Amino acid sequence: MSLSIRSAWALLSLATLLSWGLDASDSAVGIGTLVLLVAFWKARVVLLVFMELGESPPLLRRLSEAWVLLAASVVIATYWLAPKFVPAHSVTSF
Amino acid sequence: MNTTATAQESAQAEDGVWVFVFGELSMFTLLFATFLYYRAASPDVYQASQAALLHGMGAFNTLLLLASSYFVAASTAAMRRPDQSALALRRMRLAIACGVGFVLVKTLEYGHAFHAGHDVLSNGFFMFYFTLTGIHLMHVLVGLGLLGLLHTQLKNRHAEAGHVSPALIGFSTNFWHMVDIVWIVLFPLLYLLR
Repeated sequence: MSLSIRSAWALLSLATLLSWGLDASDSAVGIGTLVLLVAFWKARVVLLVFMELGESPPLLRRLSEAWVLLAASVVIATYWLAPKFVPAHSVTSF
Repeated sequence: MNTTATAQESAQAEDGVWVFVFGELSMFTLLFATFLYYRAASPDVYQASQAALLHGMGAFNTLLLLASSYFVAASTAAMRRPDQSALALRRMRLAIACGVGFVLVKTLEYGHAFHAGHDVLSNGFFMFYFTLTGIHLMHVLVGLGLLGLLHTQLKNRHAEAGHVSPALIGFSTNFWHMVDIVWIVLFPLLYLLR
């Protein structure tokens, strides 16, 4: 990723405002998934540009890319699957 | 000791920092998944509680932390140039100011929630809201302490009265970016997801 830190900051701020704008949309899993994908894309930009992992040795760069992929998969899979496997009102104290 | 924090010195000093950073990020990822699991059990309660949050403040805090992270990255770039020590110092001050702004906004937000009668025992959503944002806020405070220490060393170096530790640069700046990443995911989870 060859973004300058200033361009990265501008894109990250713009993505934040766009995600916030989507907040007003109708409730839909598709919108929620998009908002989460944008969040993990933002996390990747911070790792690769602000933390300079884009210019780090290949192993470290692959590790950071792998973390983004794994974390996004775990969070989005739980967002999708939990409503199917956790019966509503099954955890009464919460 | 050479007072210039070169990229090579920083890279050497950062050995081990990554284990810490990715360990913390993975711990938060599990907490996020746990939140989504419980959210599925009481979707109505979670959505009604989420609507009571001050969404604008959450978005503003995200912008503040992004700006803070930007100033830290820009300060780190300036630290590598001995002729830019004043610029590195100025950018670090701006980064710290944005971080302090985040804490102030979060305090106002907590005050609003308490005033509206919500606390950690209100329901599952507010339990997660106060716990997750509270753990994150503690990280913000530790991060501000580390940046404050780095600021002092930068100030001393600028006055030619000391040096800046490459290990401190590596740990404090990456810790701060990690705090930013956690909030980047926490913001949509708590404020935006329907």
